[in-house]
Amino acid sequence: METNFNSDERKRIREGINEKYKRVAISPEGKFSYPTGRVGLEGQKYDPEVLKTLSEDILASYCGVGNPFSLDTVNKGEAVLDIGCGASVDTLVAAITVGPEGKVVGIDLVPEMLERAKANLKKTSLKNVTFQEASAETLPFPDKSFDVVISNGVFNLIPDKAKALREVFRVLKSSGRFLLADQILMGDMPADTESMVKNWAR
Amino acid sequence: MLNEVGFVDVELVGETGFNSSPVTKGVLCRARKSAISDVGRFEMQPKDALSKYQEFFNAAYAEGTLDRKTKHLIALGASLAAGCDP
Repeated sequence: METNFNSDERKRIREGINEKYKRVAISPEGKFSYPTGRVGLEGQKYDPEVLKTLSEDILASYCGVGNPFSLDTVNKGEAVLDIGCGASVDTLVAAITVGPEGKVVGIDLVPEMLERAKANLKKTSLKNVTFQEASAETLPFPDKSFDVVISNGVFNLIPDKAKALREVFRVLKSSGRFLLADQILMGDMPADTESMVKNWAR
Repeated sequence: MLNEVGFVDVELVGETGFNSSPVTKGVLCRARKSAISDVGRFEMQPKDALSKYQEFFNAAYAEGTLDRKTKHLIALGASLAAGCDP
């Protein structure tokens, strides 16, 4: 199932992701085949009470493929990690949900996305959120750091998924939950590695 | 893959309806790290350690001057007094 990419292929995959998502950081509108922004959030039935507390330009930056918060209750005071936080709409929803006693960390690979995330955070009064540039394959956190790990539309972009899942397991506390929304490929993997690398982030 | 990593209660909950391309589907999935994942690691120890412990356990509770039932009742009393589950 997994393909072992060489370092050149991994570099090109990373460049493809950076190329697409630095444009998405400006606006996701028209760059996905499903609804983004407020329409996407409402379509995925995010809590309207939570959405009400975020400004329209924050909501407009949403490009998730599902609602991780529909999978389980995230409780007040919990520590949450958002892998591939993008413009941070899920990170901010988590921060509102866990309240001031909780904390949320968002990581992403694309610097432009993290800039947008930080700009979005500044438009809120939330004090329990931090962002870091980091790869899901090597999480910069000690073992058992988080009660919940969320991720939305990101694991399909990670070259070494098994390594990233081992990292999620490591940083979760005992009884911790992993809530995942993502794209899965229906049918066979392309046999041709070259076209896979070229089309990775499309 | 989630099970192989050690997660439990792995569940593909459903489709989101947001598909990136005609050949992919948006899905929701949840998994949990077991509360006893550290105990799980103990189970991975060489079988020797476990079988030696089992030998000790069987020897301690073997019928002798005191019968097996009496020994278990003493162990139960001791564990309750120590505040631990028998």
